Order: sequence, then structure tokens, then C-alpha cells
Amino acid sequence: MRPLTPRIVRLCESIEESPRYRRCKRFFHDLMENDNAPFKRYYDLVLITLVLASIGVLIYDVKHPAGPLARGFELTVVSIFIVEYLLRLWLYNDAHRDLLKEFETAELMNEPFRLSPALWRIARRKWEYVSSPLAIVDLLAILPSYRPLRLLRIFLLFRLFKVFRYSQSLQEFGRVLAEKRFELGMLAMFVGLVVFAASTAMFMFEAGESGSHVGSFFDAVYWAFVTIATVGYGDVVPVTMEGRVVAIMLIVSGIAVISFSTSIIVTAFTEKFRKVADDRVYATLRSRRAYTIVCGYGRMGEAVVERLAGARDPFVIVDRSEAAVEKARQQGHLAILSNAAEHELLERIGIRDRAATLLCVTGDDITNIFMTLSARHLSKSVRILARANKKESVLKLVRAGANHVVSPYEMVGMNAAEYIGQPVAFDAIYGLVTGTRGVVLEGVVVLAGSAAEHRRVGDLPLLEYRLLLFGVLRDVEQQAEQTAMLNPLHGGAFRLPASRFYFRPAAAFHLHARDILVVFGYEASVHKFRKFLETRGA
Amino acid sequence: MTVAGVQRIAVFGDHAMVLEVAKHLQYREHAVLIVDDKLEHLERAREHGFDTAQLDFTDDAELWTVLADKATTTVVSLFDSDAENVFLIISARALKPELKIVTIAESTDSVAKLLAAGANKIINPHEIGGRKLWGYLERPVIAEILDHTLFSSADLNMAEMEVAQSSPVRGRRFGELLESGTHNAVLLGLVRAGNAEDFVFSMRALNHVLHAGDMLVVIGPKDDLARMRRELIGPGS
Repeated sequence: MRPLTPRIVRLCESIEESPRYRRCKRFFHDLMENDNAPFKRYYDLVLITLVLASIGVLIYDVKHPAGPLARGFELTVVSIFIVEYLLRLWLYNDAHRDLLKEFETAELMNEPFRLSPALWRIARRKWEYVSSPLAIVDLLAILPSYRPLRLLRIFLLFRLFKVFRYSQSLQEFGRVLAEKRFELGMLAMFVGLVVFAASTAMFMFEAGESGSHVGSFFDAVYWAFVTIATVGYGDVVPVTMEGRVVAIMLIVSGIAVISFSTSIIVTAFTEKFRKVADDRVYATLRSRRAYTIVCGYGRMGEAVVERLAGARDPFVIVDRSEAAVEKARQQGHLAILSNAAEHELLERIGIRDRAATLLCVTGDDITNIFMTLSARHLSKSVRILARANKKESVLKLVRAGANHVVSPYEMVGMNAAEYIGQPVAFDAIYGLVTGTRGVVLEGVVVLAGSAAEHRRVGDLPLLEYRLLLFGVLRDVEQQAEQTAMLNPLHGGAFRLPASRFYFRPAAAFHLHARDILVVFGYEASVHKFRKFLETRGA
Repeated sequence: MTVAGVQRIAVFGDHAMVLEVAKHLQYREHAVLIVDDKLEHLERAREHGFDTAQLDFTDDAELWTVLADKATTTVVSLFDSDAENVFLIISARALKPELKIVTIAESTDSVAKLLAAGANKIINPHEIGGRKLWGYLERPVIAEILDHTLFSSADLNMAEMEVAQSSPVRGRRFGELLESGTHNAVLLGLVRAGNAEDFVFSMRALNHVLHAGDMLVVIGPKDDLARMRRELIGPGS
């Protein structure tokens, strides 16, 4: 090992361990590269302004040679760009870490550590950055513009390209085209061949003729491009009949070229816009809390969404079919096109900490079960309501972690059976339970200190308030005391997940705080009764 | 084999839905006949223990072979498409006017068509499912209570009890019956004789004097309801 090596290794180690270095690097990374950091936007804006200003000055300078002020401005701007270039070079990777890794590998293999190859490899990594398109643009933008050399003024344009780096939308645009590079490449080849053939023909037919506009081969190429793009300046036109025939053929192929390229770009952008629309929804969701996710915008999804929208509860729709998402968006709802069974989607959509409820209501049980399982895995607290299209799926969904399962077939079966057996009762009760007759089924909480606490059920003026008692709901812990009080001839207790429901308890049933009186009655009556309990509190 | 006096329900429609619904009907102790034209569907139905009949519902003569039986009082039509449901409903209604016909609707627009065709009861499963989901979202406590009591295999049933001529409650005030509370049932309300569509909530019917033909709507444990039926209503029902 050369005497320099241990010093370099120690230098790298001290860099690796220094928190100040890391903070410094992270600061610049957040400023210049991290899209999610707040400052990057301002940095981008400042730099775009600088670039445009410097170009403006240079443009002005073309006709009005400016004084020292302009030159000073140009110098400042170029220095800023140089500093930026070097910073990006530094940010590109952690060179010291790479060196240390090489060193440790060498130690592990019990081989002598060779500095020069390691440094060479690091230089190659940095070269990756230098040879990337955006870095090349940066470099060319820095090159001083030698005014006398007119050609080099073109490099000024590269400064304009620099703006590319700072504008996310332009980058998106670039990405869109890059995605279609195969098709665009094919198109370019086709155009290239046709143009070459046409220019050659044009040149051969026209170059020698008198009165011809085609002097050099370049003129012919220029003319071919102008024609195939259906621009037709009219500065170069064929004068011979053969030339005109070539022109006709070129015009016809020009139409094909235009349509082909339009369709490629349109497709690329349509796909992109779709994704952008989705991204916008995700962005909106990031700032929302306690919303409902509706997976599956079929008939049941629509029925729930209608109610959610009516109650102005926040929600977002996810569906696999484009038609459904389009329909939802047209109705003004937030909607995302995606296969909701994807794990990534559930995370992005905020299942862990932002969504309150997930509705898995697609028409396919496999999807519903998988989605329920994935969601439950990601969040223990989110409420999951699922749709079971087959009876067997109900239990599976519960096992997968659903809080409640709704089965359309079961609803049909139950409704049909009850209707057939006792239509009057079913109709009446169904109407009450859904509140469609003005009568509601509501829970009145017995608050600590209220008029109902420690009272017997029989003592409450329920009849006076026109309320019909269905039962009392109690938390499980308080059960033990009450069982002794139960009159075996009355009531009956039903086990619920965390509580017990006492159907029609006896008059001697004592109420505790936090019990819920479940009553039938008109909305107004329930309201009045609640007020009564509050005001008469002990 | 149909037992004398037992009403039989003929179920037509898309196979998956038919099986599910038939299971529920059978669970509530109705006699079910599954009708289909495809043999493999009928075999699956038979495996589940249902009676089956193979026929093409579009043929009136074949349809009549099922409807002719006096025990067949109800037809349930569960096709996925409105067109097929309408066809069956119209055919069945024409062949046997007193038939009770229950069908499913794809959407709210279908409901009008199916009613016009002659259905007695139209069920929109997705609408109902959506409503139930909404119940879970908005009033989870109540929804859960109902799930574990009324809408499950647990003890609470709903029942309608007609007041017979010989019933001991004839002439008594409804409110009196409510207050007496000797029965372990919640008296939800009643439908007065002659006003079949008009359900009156019990709190509004307190002063109503009970007549023969009035229908009481109650919720309670199965056995208590049976006892109530025997004691209060009399041998009529």
C-alpha cells in the first residue's frame, strides 16, 4: 500500500462518521433533488428565473451590445451555474462510501488494497453523471458565449434546455416521449428513408436545370423536409415535371407521417393524463383524514356512494374498470383507476393512518377477500366492510379481518323468505329499521350523572315520551352485576362482540352509566327524551 | 314430495343466485322447488337437497306443469336480466292470477317495469346491500344489534298475528295490551283491518280498539311469540 492510502481511507472514514457532513449533504439533496421537500420548488423557481433572465440579457445583447452591467450579470450567473454543477456532481453518489466499501472488501478477501483501481472506479461513477443528458446540458450552458463565433451562439440554447431540469411538467413531457421511443424511432427511420430518397431524386432531376431552386444537395433535403411536414414555405419549388411528381409522392407520404406521429403522441399523452389524474387524487388524499375508501364501483358501490355523497362524508372510489372510474369522475367523485388488490395501492391510498373505513364491494369474492386481508394486515384499526357474493365467503371474509359482511344474495333470500312468510311484519319492521316511515331505531346513551343512571327501566317515562323500548346495550365488563337481576321470564341477553344486548329487560333492570337504551320512536321524541335525561341529571 | 298444507315456492333464475336464495328459504322452513332447463344445474341443486324440475320457462305448457300444483303458491324469479324476469312474471301471472311473485331488480328503473309485469314484491339486492353498508357506516351500534338479534339465526323473530273473532283481546285498547307487558315481545304496531298498506306505529295506536282482522306486528324470541299467539290471539291464527 502506498503511504497516501491509509490517509485517504482515514479521510473517508471520518467523512462517513461526521454528522455535519451528512446534514450538509442532506440539506443540498433536499434543496436540489428531493421532489417531496418543500424548498425544492422555490429553488427551481429561482433558477428558472435566473436562466431566463440570463437568456433575456443575451438576446438583448445581440442587437444592443451591453455594457459592464450585462457582463457582470452574465459572470454571476455563470458562476452560480458552475457551483450548481459541482454540487450535483457531489450529490450524485457517496464516493467516500464506495471507497470504504472497496477497502473493506479487500480486507475481507485478505487482498492488498489497491488505491488507483478504486479511484478509477469512483471516477467512472462520477463520469456516469457527467455523461447523463441533463448534466451535458448544464455543462454546455456554462460555456461562455464567444460572441464573434456565431455558431457557438447555439450553445445559448442549451441554457434554455436547462429549464427542463427545473420544471417537473417538462420532465413529464420528456418521459412521455421517452416511453414511446420505439414507435417514434420507427417513425424517424421511415421519415429518414423517404426524405433521403426524395432529396436524391429531387437533386438529380433539378440540380442542373435552369431556373431551378435546388443548388446544393442540402437544398434538396431542406425542400424534402418542408414538404413532408406539409409546411411548404415555397422558397424551394420543383420546376421540372419529374420534380413535381416527386413532390406529389412526398406530399402523400407526408400525410401518413403526420397522422402516424399524431397518433403516437396522442396515445402517449392520454395514458399519461390518466396517470396524472390518478396522481392528483393521491395528492388530494394525502391531506385528508378519516375518509371512506370504496373499492368497486358497481351497483352496490353506487348505492353506498349515493348516501355518502348525500351526507357529505369524504370518500374515494377505486375501481379496476375504466368505464366505472370515468362514470364516477363525471359524477364529480374522487376516483382512482387501479386493481385494488395491489398492496401498493392500499398503502398509497392511506389505509394505514388516514382512511377510517374500507368498503370491499366488488362483484368478485376473491378480490374482496384478498383486499380485506391485505388491508387488515396494514392496519389493525381501519374498519373493513365487505361484500360476499357467495354464502361461503362470509366466514372467509370475517376470518380475513372484515368487521362486517354484507351479502346481496343473503339479502334477497332473507327478504324473499320474510316477505313470503309474513309480509306485513316484514314490511313494517323493515320500514322502521331503515327509518323510512319517520320512525327510527335509535340508541340513547345513559350518561354518567344523567337522570337515568341507577334508575330502573320501569321508572323511566318512556311511554310518556312515546318511545318503545327494544332493549339495552351494555359493555361486557359491567355484565356480572346485572345477571343476578335478570328475571328469567323476561328479556334475554344477546352476545355482541364487545357487549351484551338485553332484549326488553324487566322493569326492575337497573341502568348503569354508558348503557345504551335502544328505542323505537319518532326522531323528535328521541331528541326530547335525550334532553330530558340531560336536564334532570342528579 | 310435498307435504299437504305446506306452501311450495318455485325458484327460477340464474343458477348461483337461485341456490343461495333457495338455501335461505329452506333455512326458514319453506318447501322449495328449483326450476331450470340445464341438467347440471339441477344436479347441483339436488346435491344440496332441493326438489327440482326441468323445464323451459318460456314454454307456457311446461310452466303450467309446475304452477298447476295447488301447493305452489309463490314464484321467485331471479334472472339477471330484466327481460327474462318480465317474461316469466307475465307468463306466470297469466297462468295463475293468485300467484305471489317475488323478483329481483337490477336497478331502480327496472322496478317500474317489473311492477307493470305483475310482480308482487321487488327486491333490489344491491340497493339493499348498499343501505345495509350505510347503516354500518352511520349507525354501527344499531346495525350490529340488529345483525345479532333480528337478522340472524339467533332467537328474535318478527311475526304478524291476526286478531281472530274469538280472541280475548278483541275490544281492548291497544295501549292496554302494550302496558300490560306480560309477554316477552315488543309490540311494534299494527295494521288495521281493511287498511292493508297502512302500518301504524304502536305509539300512535295507543287508543285504538282492537277489532277482528287487525294484524299485530311483534318482535320477540320464537317460543315467546308462539306462546303469545296461542294465548292472546286465540285459536284463529
